Amino acid sequence: MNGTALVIGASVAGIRTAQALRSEGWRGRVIVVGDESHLPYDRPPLSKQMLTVRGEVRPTPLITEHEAAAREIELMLGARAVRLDSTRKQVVLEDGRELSYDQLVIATGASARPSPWGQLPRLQVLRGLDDCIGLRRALQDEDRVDHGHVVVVGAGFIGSEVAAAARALDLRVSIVDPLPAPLGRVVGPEVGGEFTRLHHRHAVETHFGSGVASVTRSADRLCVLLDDGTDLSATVVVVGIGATPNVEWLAGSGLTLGDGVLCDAEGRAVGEPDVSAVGDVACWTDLDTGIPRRVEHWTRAVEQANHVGRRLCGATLENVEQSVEYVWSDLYDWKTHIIGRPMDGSRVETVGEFDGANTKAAVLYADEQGVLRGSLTVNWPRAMLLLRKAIAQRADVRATRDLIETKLLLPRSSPGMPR
Amino acid sequence: MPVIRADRTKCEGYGNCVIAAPELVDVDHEGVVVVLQEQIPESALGRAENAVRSCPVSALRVDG
Repeated sequence: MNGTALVIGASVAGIRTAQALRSEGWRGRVIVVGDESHLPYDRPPLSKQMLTVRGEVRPTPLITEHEAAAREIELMLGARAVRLDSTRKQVVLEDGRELSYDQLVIATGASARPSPWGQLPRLQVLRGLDDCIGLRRALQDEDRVDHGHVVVVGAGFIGSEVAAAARALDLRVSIVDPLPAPLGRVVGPEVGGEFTRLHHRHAVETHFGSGVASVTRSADRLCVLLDDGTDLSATVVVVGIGATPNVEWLAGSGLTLGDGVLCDAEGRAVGEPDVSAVGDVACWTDLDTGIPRRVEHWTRAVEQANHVGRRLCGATLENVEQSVEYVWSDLYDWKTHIIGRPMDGSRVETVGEFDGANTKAAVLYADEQGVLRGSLTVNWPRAMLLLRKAIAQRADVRATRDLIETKLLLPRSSPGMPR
Repeated sequence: MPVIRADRTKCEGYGNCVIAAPELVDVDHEGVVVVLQEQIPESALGRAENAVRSCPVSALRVDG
């Protein structure tokens, strides 16, 4: 609990680790190194309301300067780590400075997978604040362009959210994905179809089941040619095709790198007891299956940060098995939550109903033994909470369904009535 | 004794706080946070701070 805790990365995983270290009683220095010069900010709003709001861009802070000072968290911003020497226990920065540590926490996150179709003006990815500011300017300029047309490549969370934001700005939007239905790999093709209908209901043109062959520039337009021969003429192209962990700076460090920094079930880098990794860059070993698995979820990053903060301070550790994956997305008039791992289930049933703007539904995914493995909920936070607990407890799907129906559906109590 | 406060206008019903500190907070029928117990006993302070840090929209804070 004495000595220097050095955190590399100032996004949610890094900042929450620093805060957890202070909450749990770390007495030595806590230093957070971030490669961007912006004060640490939160990323989820970048693909949502920050694209649509007019006026000054106000990122959501992860920590204020006041709190950092009060809790003695030293922020070194605009500083990029380029090398780790775990034998000398030092991190080297781009400007040549060397930082020594007693405990190192790697939280360098992930970068948007770059466009495979080259770099062109008005073709961009969305990951950081600067990307958001650039995209926002491009989208909000669109109403000055005749026949403006935003083409989004990739119908995962980021792509779908960008499509929704562009529609909120009343732009013409097309979305392209090689999968036959958006999020098909996460929620299955049938439920994915509900997301196709959601895009259609908001007048987005969808091109699903077809990849992009090329993107080329012609005069002031971008030509997006699809595998099926469709030619889309775009004024802005947004590429949202996933992210890759930022591990390049760790080459030659001796750490085991695969899909991120390989860690044990408590976030220790394999073979390096004084090095931990958290967030999108970390590949923790699953306690149940023994399989390493990298998860790019906000809530997961916070849980890992808390866990590592507690462990480094010698606190008793909560059962890591309790942690259930949880991710949300705001799409048009749907607040969607995905809990657990739906694709670990093979039986799918829906409580509530999908009904356009009035949708209130929970899709339950159970395995062959009837154990609930995952869920998608839409516009139903109470069911989502109930399901988070049920999935953590590996509850029976029948019993969970009954619980939702009796507790949340049958007593049609009016708002404000006690539960 | 420190207290936990919720800004119900900011809450969007993510529910991370209920997972972190179920004895202190819950959500109502509309999915909006409600404080069950404002005063935080010593034994729950870590969980309360956890709840604050796990809120994606900073709807909670611990005072005092």
